[in-house]
Amino acid sequence: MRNAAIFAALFIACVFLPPWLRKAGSGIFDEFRAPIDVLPAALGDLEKYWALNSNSKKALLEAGRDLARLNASYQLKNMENSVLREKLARYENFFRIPSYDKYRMEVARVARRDISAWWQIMVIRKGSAHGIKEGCAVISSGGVVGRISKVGAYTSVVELVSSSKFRMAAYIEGENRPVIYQGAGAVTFHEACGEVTDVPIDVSAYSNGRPLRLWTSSLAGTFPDGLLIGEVKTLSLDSDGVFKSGMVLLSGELSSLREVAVLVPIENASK
Amino acid sequence: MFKSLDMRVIVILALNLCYLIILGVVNSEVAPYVRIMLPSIFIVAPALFLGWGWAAFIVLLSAFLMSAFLPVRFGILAALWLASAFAVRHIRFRFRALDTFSLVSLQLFLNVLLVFIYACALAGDFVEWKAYILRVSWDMAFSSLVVALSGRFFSMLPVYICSLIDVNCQISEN
Repeated sequence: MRNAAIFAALFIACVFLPPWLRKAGSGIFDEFRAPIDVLPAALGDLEKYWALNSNSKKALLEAGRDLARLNASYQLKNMENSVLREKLARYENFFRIPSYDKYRMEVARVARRDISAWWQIMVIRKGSAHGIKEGCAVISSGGVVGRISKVGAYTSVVELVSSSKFRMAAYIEGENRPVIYQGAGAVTFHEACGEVTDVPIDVSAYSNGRPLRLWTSSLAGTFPDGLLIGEVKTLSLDSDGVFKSGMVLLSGELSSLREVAVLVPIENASK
Repeated sequence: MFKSLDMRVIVILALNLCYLIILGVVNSEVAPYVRIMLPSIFIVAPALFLGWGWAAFIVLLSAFLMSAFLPVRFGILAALWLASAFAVRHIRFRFRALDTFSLVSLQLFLNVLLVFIYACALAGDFVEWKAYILRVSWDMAFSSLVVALSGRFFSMLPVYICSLIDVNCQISEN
């Protein structure tokens, strides 16, 4: 009887937690759980460190030589980059267009992935201590990865671009009319995909035999213009006959990413 | 209720934390293909071998840790797990013999039931019903296979560890 009373009290407390307590509880347990999530990734780093540490002198010399070549190449690219930046700044000034330097990149390692029928999320090893905020864009070399949905002190949760809760404005290659992109959610045995809607009727999925690309639009404010979302595979006319909608194939990298970059807005960037 | 903190509590709590880490790592690696969901392994051992107070504490802690970063309402998963633990504890004497068939059946039934409840309760934001049902069925089938193969191991692991440190771990009145 006493056990049943304890159970009933705990059950009711769990179900009818007031919102502020839910938020506080979630935050506390999130912070408490963060080291558990980070632990395997940190152990992986340690393993890699010791594996590298056991390399022979010859291997280190070879790696040093390769790095020197890479450094020389990056120095050239760096010079080219700074010239292009100066040129861009001059054009921005001349045409009075908004600057692209609205974001700084915070590179973070992936601690864990959780992809299921209900959510597609990723935990990264940087949080509010590094200036990351909810809603920040997350990208990788393959394009858009997702958006920060929850921030802890040293970890953050990324809602992946394939999640059905992920929705944003976009535009199709060669077009300037905005369309809407939404993740498709749960898929099994094939690559992550999304859905594009509100596509003008005169646009077709293929141009010169290759699929059109879908780029981000700065209309929503989270992402800068021109980041790759995916390739439009199919487009078909909606039942209303006004717009087209179709499937977008996302980058295959999404399921194997080890590092991502978070675009943190710079507070005093020129608007 | 919490008068005696014995080694069984520490062993089962530590095991649940280990399961949390291992499941996280495994799911992270197999993420695009399948999600292994094993809620029953967090519930059965505490409910069978511990007093109700400690069982409830461990199950609630595991559930809160599990659901902390997930986009589900905080507390709902804990309530569900707590109800499962209470039900298992209520019928625990049927499993006093700790035989393989009954332990695996218990784990399997509880796991399938909980995943089915998740599937019904969390259904909502998806583009295609067919893809959703296919994905959930696949995850459920794979998780059930894992439970069927290792259900006894997960149930008996605290007993084995306790026997190593000379602590009696069995289904008892309190």
